Amino acid sequence: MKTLILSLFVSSLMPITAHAAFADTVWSQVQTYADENDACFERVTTLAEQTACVKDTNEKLNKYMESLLQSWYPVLRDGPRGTEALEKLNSSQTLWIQVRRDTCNFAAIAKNTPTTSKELSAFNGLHCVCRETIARIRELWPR
Amino acid sequence: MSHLKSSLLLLLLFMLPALHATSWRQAPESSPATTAPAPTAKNDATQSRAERQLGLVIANTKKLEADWANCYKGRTGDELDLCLKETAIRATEYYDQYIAYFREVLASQYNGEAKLKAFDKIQPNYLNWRTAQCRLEDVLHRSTVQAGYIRRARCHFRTALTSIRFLNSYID
Repeated sequence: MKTLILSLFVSSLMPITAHAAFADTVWSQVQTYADENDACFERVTTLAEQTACVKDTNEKLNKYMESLLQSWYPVLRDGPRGTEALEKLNSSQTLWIQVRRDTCNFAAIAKNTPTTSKELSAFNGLHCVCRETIARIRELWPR
Repeated sequence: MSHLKSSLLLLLLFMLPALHATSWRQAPESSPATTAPAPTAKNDATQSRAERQLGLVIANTKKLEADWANCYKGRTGDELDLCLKETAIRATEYYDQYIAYFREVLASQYNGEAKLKAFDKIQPNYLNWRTAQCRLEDVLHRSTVQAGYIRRARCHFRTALTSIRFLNSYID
Protein backbone atom coordinates (compact mmCIF):
# COMPACT_ATOMS: atom_id res chain seq x y z
CA MET A 1 0.00 0.00 0.00
CA LYS A 2 2.86 2.36 0.82
CA THR A 3 4.30 1.74 -2.62
CA LEU A 4 0.94 2.47 -4.17
CA ILE A 5 0.53 5.74 -2.28
CA LEU A 6 4.08 6.77 -3.15
CA SER A 7 3.48 5.93 -6.79
CA LEU A 8 0.30 7.98 -6.86
CA PHE A 9 1.99 10.86 -5.12
CA VAL A 10 4.89 10.78 -7.51
CA SER A 11 2.56 10.48 -10.47
CA SER A 12 0.72 13.61 -9.34
CA LEU A 13 3.92 15.64 -9.31
CA MET A 14 5.93 14.30 -12.17
CA PRO A 15 5.13 14.83 -15.80
CA ILE A 16 4.32 12.30 -18.47
CA THR A 17 6.95 9.61 -17.74
CA ALA A 18 5.86 8.99 -14.13
CA HIS A 19 2.17 9.00 -15.12
CA ALA A 20 2.92 6.52 -17.86
CA ALA A 21 4.91 4.28 -15.52
CA PHE A 22 2.12 4.21 -12.96
CA ALA A 23 -0.52 3.55 -15.60
CA ASP A 24 1.64 0.71 -16.94
CA THR A 25 1.69 -0.83 -13.45
CA VAL A 26 -2.10 -0.55 -13.16
CA TRP A 27 -2.71 -2.01 -16.62
CA SER A 28 -0.29 -4.80 -15.96
CA GLN A 29 -2.02 -5.73 -12.69
CA VAL A 30 -5.43 -5.66 -14.35
CA GLN A 31 -4.12 -7.85 -17.16
CA THR A 32 -2.82 -10.32 -14.56
CA TYR A 33 -6.31 -10.61 -13.07
CA ALA A 34 -7.79 -11.08 -16.55
CA ASP A 35 -5.22 -13.76 -17.42
CA GLU A 36 -5.82 -15.57 -14.13
CA ASN A 37 -9.54 -15.53 -14.88
CA ASP A 38 -8.95 -17.02 -18.35
CA ALA A 39 -6.68 -19.69 -16.91
CA CYS A 40 -9.33 -20.52 -14.34
CA PHE A 41 -11.94 -20.90 -17.12
CA GLU A 42 -9.67 -23.33 -18.93
CA ARG A 43 -8.96 -25.35 -15.82
CA VAL A 44 -12.58 -25.98 -14.85
CA THR A 45 -15.27 -27.81 -16.74
CA THR A 46 -18.67 -26.75 -15.42
CA LEU A 47 -20.63 -23.53 -15.59
CA ALA A 48 -20.86 -23.47 -11.79
CA GLU A 49 -17.07 -23.57 -11.56
CA GLN A 50 -16.68 -20.87 -14.20
CA THR A 51 -19.15 -18.73 -12.29
CA ALA A 52 -17.01 -19.18 -9.18
CA CYS A 53 -13.90 -18.16 -11.20
CA VAL A 54 -15.43 -14.90 -12.36
CA LYS A 55 -16.89 -14.12 -8.94
CA ASP A 56 -13.42 -14.45 -7.48
CA THR A 57 -11.93 -12.24 -10.22
CA ASN A 58 -14.59 -9.60 -9.68
CA GLU A 59 -13.82 -9.53 -5.99
CA LYS A 60 -10.12 -8.97 -6.72
CA LEU A 61 -10.86 -6.30 -9.33
CA ASN A 62 -13.26 -4.44 -7.05
CA LYS A 63 -10.77 -4.46 -4.19
CA TYR A 64 -7.98 -3.28 -6.49
CA MET A 65 -10.07 -0.44 -7.93
CA GLU A 66 -11.14 0.62 -4.44
CA SER A 67 -7.54 0.64 -3.18
CA LEU A 68 -6.46 2.74 -6.18
CA LEU A 69 -9.29 5.20 -5.56
CA GLN A 70 -8.69 5.44 -1.81
CA SER A 71 -5.04 6.25 -2.46
CA TRP A 72 -5.92 8.74 -5.17
CA TYR A 73 -8.48 10.80 -3.23
CA PRO A 74 -6.04 12.63 -0.89
CA VAL A 75 -3.54 13.21 -3.70
CA LEU A 76 -6.25 14.60 -5.93
CA ARG A 77 -7.63 16.82 -3.16
CA ASP A 78 -4.21 18.37 -2.56
CA GLY A 79 -3.49 18.85 -6.28
CA PRO A 80 -4.55 21.60 -8.66
CA ARG A 81 -8.32 22.28 -8.62
CA GLY A 82 -8.42 19.59 -5.91
CA THR A 83 -11.89 20.17 -4.49
CA GLU A 84 -13.48 20.37 -7.91
CA ALA A 85 -11.59 17.33 -9.18
CA LEU A 86 -12.57 15.27 -6.14
CA GLU A 87 -16.20 16.23 -6.51
CA LYS A 88 -16.18 15.27 -10.19
CA LEU A 89 -14.48 11.95 -9.47
CA ASN A 90 -17.01 11.10 -6.75
CA SER A 91 -19.88 12.01 -9.02
CA SER A 92 -18.55 9.99 -11.93
CA GLN A 93 -17.73 6.97 -9.78
CA THR A 94 -21.13 6.93 -8.05
CA LEU A 95 -22.92 7.09 -11.38
CA TRP A 96 -20.60 4.52 -12.92
CA ILE A 97 -21.45 1.99 -10.19
CA GLN A 98 -25.15 2.44 -10.96
CA VAL A 99 -24.52 2.15 -14.70
CA ARG A 100 -22.45 -1.03 -14.22
CA ARG A 101 -25.23 -2.58 -12.16
CA ASP A 102 -27.92 -1.73 -14.72
CA THR A 103 -25.73 -2.60 -17.71
CA CYS A 104 -24.87 -6.02 -16.30
CA ASN A 105 -28.47 -6.73 -15.31
CA PHE A 106 -29.26 -6.09 -18.96
CA ALA A 107 -26.25 -8.14 -20.14
CA ALA A 108 -27.48 -11.06 -18.05
CA ILE A 109 -30.63 -11.41 -20.16
CA ALA A 110 -29.62 -9.71 -23.42
CA LYS A 111 -28.81 -12.89 -25.31
CA ASN A 112 -31.38 -15.10 -23.63
CA THR A 113 -33.29 -17.61 -25.71
CA PRO A 114 -36.09 -19.93 -24.58
CA THR A 115 -33.45 -22.50 -23.57
CA THR A 116 -31.13 -20.20 -21.58
CA SER A 117 -30.81 -21.32 -17.97
CA LYS A 118 -30.88 -18.97 -15.00
CA GLU A 119 -27.36 -20.10 -14.20
CA LEU A 120 -26.08 -19.03 -17.63
CA SER A 121 -27.83 -15.66 -17.29
CA ALA A 122 -26.16 -15.14 -13.93
CA PHE A 123 -22.78 -16.04 -15.41
CA ASN A 124 -23.28 -13.58 -18.29
CA GLY A 125 -24.08 -10.84 -15.79
CA LEU A 126 -20.99 -11.57 -13.72
CA HIS A 127 -18.81 -11.69 -16.81
CA CYS A 128 -20.14 -8.26 -17.75
CA VAL A 129 -19.12 -6.96 -14.30
CA CYS A 130 -15.60 -8.26 -14.88
CA ARG A 131 -15.31 -6.65 -18.31
CA GLU A 132 -16.82 -3.34 -17.17
CA THR A 133 -14.59 -3.10 -14.10
CA ILE A 134 -11.46 -3.72 -16.16
CA ALA A 135 -12.56 -1.05 -18.63
CA ARG A 136 -13.25 1.39 -15.78
CA ILE A 137 -9.82 0.95 -14.20
CA ARG A 138 -8.17 1.47 -17.58
CA GLU A 139 -10.34 4.53 -18.15
CA LEU A 140 -9.41 6.16 -14.83
CA TRP A 141 -5.70 5.40 -15.24
CA PRO A 142 -5.19 5.66 -19.00
CA ARG A 143 -1.90 4.85 -20.67
CA MET B 1 -38.15 8.94 -24.88
CA SER B 2 -36.39 9.97 -21.72
CA HIS B 3 -33.01 9.04 -23.15
CA LEU B 4 -33.55 11.40 -26.07
CA LYS B 5 -34.42 14.25 -23.72
CA SER B 6 -31.35 13.48 -21.69
CA SER B 7 -29.26 13.44 -24.83
CA LEU B 8 -30.53 16.86 -25.84
CA LEU B 9 -29.75 18.17 -22.38
CA LEU B 10 -26.30 16.66 -22.62
CA LEU B 11 -25.69 18.32 -25.97
CA LEU B 12 -26.80 21.67 -24.59
CA LEU B 13 -24.52 21.28 -21.58
CA PHE B 14 -21.69 20.20 -23.81
CA MET B 15 -22.16 23.18 -26.11
CA LEU B 16 -22.47 25.70 -23.31
CA PRO B 17 -18.79 26.71 -23.21
CA ALA B 18 -18.87 27.27 -26.95
CA LEU B 19 -21.91 29.51 -26.67
CA HIS B 20 -20.16 31.61 -24.08
CA ALA B 21 -16.79 31.69 -25.81
CA THR B 22 -16.12 34.82 -27.78
CA SER B 23 -13.37 33.43 -29.93
CA TRP B 24 -15.05 30.47 -31.68
CA ARG B 25 -14.67 30.69 -35.41
CA GLN B 26 -17.12 29.39 -37.97
CA ALA B 27 -16.50 25.85 -39.18
CA PRO B 28 -14.12 25.98 -42.14
CA GLU B 29 -15.91 25.31 -45.40
CA SER B 30 -13.29 22.78 -46.38
CA SER B 31 -14.44 20.46 -43.59
CA PRO B 32 -18.22 20.26 -43.75
CA ALA B 33 -20.02 18.33 -41.05
CA THR B 34 -20.57 14.73 -42.10
CA THR B 35 -23.53 13.12 -40.42
CA ALA B 36 -23.25 9.35 -40.28
CA PRO B 37 -26.20 7.61 -41.92
CA ALA B 38 -28.77 6.44 -39.44
CA PRO B 39 -29.06 2.70 -38.93
CA THR B 40 -32.22 1.23 -40.27
CA ALA B 41 -34.18 -1.79 -39.14
CA LYS B 42 -35.72 -2.49 -42.57
CA ASN B 43 -35.08 -5.90 -44.05
CA ASP B 44 -32.86 -6.50 -47.05
CA ALA B 45 -33.55 -9.51 -49.25
CA THR B 46 -29.90 -10.34 -49.88
CA GLN B 47 -28.32 -9.70 -46.51
CA SER B 48 -29.50 -10.24 -42.97
CA ARG B 49 -30.36 -7.19 -40.94
CA ALA B 50 -27.71 -8.03 -38.36
CA GLU B 51 -25.00 -8.32 -41.03
CA ARG B 52 -25.97 -5.04 -42.65
CA GLN B 53 -26.16 -3.33 -39.30
CA LEU B 54 -22.77 -4.60 -38.23
CA GLY B 55 -21.23 -3.35 -41.48
CA LEU B 56 -22.94 0.00 -41.09
CA VAL B 57 -21.82 0.44 -37.51
CA ILE B 58 -18.22 -0.45 -38.37
CA ALA B 59 -18.25 1.94 -41.33
CA ASN B 60 -19.84 4.79 -39.39
CA THR B 61 -17.62 4.52 -36.35
CA LYS B 62 -14.53 4.33 -38.57
CA LYS B 63 -15.72 7.40 -40.46
CA LEU B 64 -16.15 9.30 -37.21
CA GLU B 65 -12.66 8.27 -36.11
CA ALA B 66 -11.25 9.45 -39.44
CA ASP B 67 -13.08 12.77 -39.03
CA TRP B 68 -11.59 13.14 -35.55
CA ALA B 69 -8.04 12.48 -36.80
CA ASN B 70 -8.64 14.83 -39.71
CA CYS B 71 -9.34 17.71 -37.31
CA TYR B 72 -5.65 17.72 -36.39
CA LYS B 73 -4.55 18.23 -39.99
CA GLY B 74 -3.71 21.88 -40.42
CA ARG B 75 -5.89 23.18 -37.60
CA THR B 76 -4.83 24.79 -34.35
CA GLY B 77 -6.42 26.89 -31.61
CA ASP B 78 -10.11 27.69 -31.88
CA GLU B 79 -10.40 26.09 -35.28
CA LEU B 80 -9.16 22.78 -33.89
CA ASP B 81 -11.43 23.04 -30.83
CA LEU B 82 -14.46 23.64 -33.02
CA CYS B 83 -13.68 20.76 -35.35
CA LEU B 84 -13.24 18.35 -32.41
CA LYS B 85 -16.38 19.61 -30.73
CA GLU B 86 -18.43 19.13 -33.89
CA THR B 87 -17.07 15.62 -34.38
CA ALA B 88 -17.83 14.73 -30.75
CA ILE B 89 -21.39 16.02 -31.17
CA ARG B 90 -21.82 13.95 -34.33
CA ALA B 91 -20.63 10.89 -32.39
CA THR B 92 -23.21 11.47 -29.64
CA GLU B 93 -25.90 12.10 -32.27
CA TYR B 94 -24.99 8.83 -33.94
CA TYR B 95 -25.22 7.15 -30.53
CA ASP B 96 -28.79 8.45 -30.18
CA GLN B 97 -29.65 7.15 -33.66
CA TYR B 98 -28.09 3.81 -32.85
CA ILE B 99 -30.05 3.50 -29.60
CA ALA B 100 -33.31 3.92 -31.50
CA TYR B 101 -32.30 1.05 -33.79
CA PHE B 102 -31.01 -1.07 -30.92
CA ARG B 103 -34.32 -0.77 -29.10
CA GLU B 104 -36.19 -1.90 -32.21
CA VAL B 105 -34.02 -5.00 -32.46
CA LEU B 106 -34.42 -5.82 -28.78
CA ALA B 107 -38.20 -5.46 -28.99
CA SER B 108 -38.30 -7.98 -31.84
CA GLN B 109 -36.30 -10.61 -29.91
CA TYR B 110 -37.39 -13.40 -27.60
CA ASN B 111 -38.49 -11.87 -24.28
CA GLY B 112 -38.15 -8.48 -25.98
CA GLU B 113 -40.26 -6.61 -23.46
CA ALA B 114 -38.08 -7.64 -20.51
CA LYS B 115 -34.88 -6.91 -22.46
CA LEU B 116 -36.16 -3.47 -23.44
CA LYS B 117 -37.16 -2.72 -19.86
CA ALA B 118 -33.72 -3.69 -18.57
CA PHE B 119 -31.99 -1.69 -21.29
CA ASP B 120 -34.06 1.45 -20.74
CA LYS B 121 -33.11 1.39 -17.08
CA ILE B 122 -29.47 1.98 -18.05
CA GLN B 123 -29.96 5.06 -20.17
CA PRO B 124 -30.64 7.96 -17.73
CA ASN B 125 -27.75 7.00 -15.47
CA TYR B 126 -25.51 6.30 -18.44
CA LEU B 127 -26.02 9.77 -19.92
CA ASN B 128 -25.51 11.41 -16.53
CA TRP B 129 -22.36 9.34 -16.02
CA ARG B 130 -21.00 10.36 -19.44
CA THR B 131 -21.45 14.03 -18.58
CA ALA B 132 -19.83 13.57 -15.14
CA GLN B 133 -16.94 11.52 -16.51
CA CYS B 134 -16.19 14.05 -19.25
CA ARG B 135 -16.25 16.91 -16.77
CA LEU B 136 -13.82 14.94 -14.60
CA GLU B 137 -11.46 14.41 -17.53
CA ASP B 138 -11.68 18.13 -18.34
CA VAL B 139 -10.68 19.09 -14.78
CA LEU B 140 -7.92 16.50 -14.55
CA HIS B 141 -6.27 17.59 -17.79
CA ARG B 142 -6.85 21.34 -17.65
CA SER B 143 -3.22 22.41 -17.89
CA THR B 144 -4.75 25.05 -20.17
CA VAL B 145 -8.39 25.80 -20.89
CA GLN B 146 -7.95 24.40 -24.38
CA ALA B 147 -6.33 21.17 -23.10
CA GLY B 148 -9.27 20.58 -20.76
CA TYR B 149 -11.79 21.38 -23.46
CA ILE B 150 -10.20 19.05 -25.98
CA ARG B 151 -10.08 16.33 -23.37
CA ARG B 152 -13.79 16.75 -22.70
CA ALA B 153 -14.62 16.58 -26.40
CA ARG B 154 -12.46 13.47 -26.74
CA CYS B 155 -14.24 11.88 -23.78
CA HIS B 156 -17.70 12.44 -25.31
CA PHE B 157 -16.42 11.09 -28.61
CA ARG B 158 -14.76 8.03 -27.05
CA THR B 159 -17.59 7.07 -24.72
CA ALA B 160 -20.22 7.31 -27.48
CA LEU B 161 -18.27 5.02 -29.81
CA THR B 162 -17.33 2.58 -27.04
CA SER B 163 -20.98 2.25 -26.03
CA ILE B 164 -22.14 1.66 -29.59
CA ARG B 165 -19.59 -1.12 -30.03
CA PHE B 166 -20.46 -2.64 -26.66
CA LEU B 167 -24.19 -2.68 -27.38
CA ASN B 168 -23.71 -3.97 -30.88
CA SER B 169 -21.95 -7.03 -29.49
CA TYR B 170 -25.33 -8.07 -28.04
CA ILE B 171 -27.17 -8.06 -31.35
CA ASP B 172 -24.52 -8.81 -33.97
